[in-house]
Amino acid sequence: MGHIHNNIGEHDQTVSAFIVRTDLGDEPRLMLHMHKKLGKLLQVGGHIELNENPWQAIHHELLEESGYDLNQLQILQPKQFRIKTLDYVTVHPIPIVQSTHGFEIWPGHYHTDTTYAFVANSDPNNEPVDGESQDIRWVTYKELCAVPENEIIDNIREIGKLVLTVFLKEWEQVPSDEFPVVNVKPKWSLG
Amino acid sequence: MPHIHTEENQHDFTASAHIIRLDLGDEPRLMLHMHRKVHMLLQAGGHVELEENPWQSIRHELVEETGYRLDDLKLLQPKIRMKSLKTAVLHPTPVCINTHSYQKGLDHKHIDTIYAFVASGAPTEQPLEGESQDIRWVTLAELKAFKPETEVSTIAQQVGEFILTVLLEEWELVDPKEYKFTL
Repeated sequence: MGHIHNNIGEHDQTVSAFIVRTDLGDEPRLMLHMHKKLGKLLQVGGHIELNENPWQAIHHELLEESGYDLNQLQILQPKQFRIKTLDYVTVHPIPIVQSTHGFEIWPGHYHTDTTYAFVANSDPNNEPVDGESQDIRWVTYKELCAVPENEIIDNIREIGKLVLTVFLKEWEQVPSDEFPVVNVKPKWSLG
Repeated sequence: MPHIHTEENQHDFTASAHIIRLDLGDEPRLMLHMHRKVHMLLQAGGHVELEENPWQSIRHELVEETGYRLDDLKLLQPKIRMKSLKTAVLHPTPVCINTHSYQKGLDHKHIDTIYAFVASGAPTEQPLEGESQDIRWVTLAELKAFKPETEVSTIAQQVGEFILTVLLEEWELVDPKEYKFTL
């Protein structure tokens, strides 16, 4: 989907997902796809549209770009120290990272990205949809370190390394469907 | 600040902050202010404007609504977290992100990123004119005694309780200066 706020200095909100598979041999492997326009390996993700929340956005971006249904994935969350539900309110998972970045090719435009980490133990139920990158790689830590500099953004390599070495061990795996995609009904009816 | 995206079923991003003081007697105390429009006790916070990121937003909301500058505060952060990024501005880990309906009869939602801070003294400044001047520092027992959605917002009450009972112990205090505002 296209950018939303296009005036100089404005930010769009985005979501992205690092997916790790633990069933492809001895070592965990991280999913990256070759972005068609940028020619670089990225995690999957996209814009949060104005009529959706971050969790709804990652739900459809995962499906479109990776083929994974949310219910095939575990999400990594801080061990036990998290808010699980609130009355009448839709609680989203805690991201591994929130950050804001600009673009060399588009000065004055920013993305504030909410980044989640997931664990998969099987192939995706679906293929990436037509028009999305079909060039999906599952890389080990060593392979991630060895990607040439012009084929990856430094941040993505750094976050990916931390997911494989730290978050995977130190945060806990929670079934993604514990977090509702459909908004929890408020206390009052909106008719 | 006013709503930004006001068509049916649109969402605005907001940032808010729970502040705890440890120097007001034996027990930690949580800051809440009486919101002038919704007439309930809430944490400080406001809209993330289109020209800012959530961390820039909470910096000015804190000064405007509580009188606290980031220099007066420590951030509560999970012990395991990303600590730096080279080519992006890394923001702190929030204690909660949630989506809630703003007001009865209005199909407008807020996606709120909530941070938790600890203060060791009174704020440097006063809340700005026009902001709520009715600021309370409540103990856990006082917080739990408020009637939800009448005296206190449910979110402020439940997130506040979680911070006082769990995160204050399990997360660590970090200098907010570790988080930059721009690259």
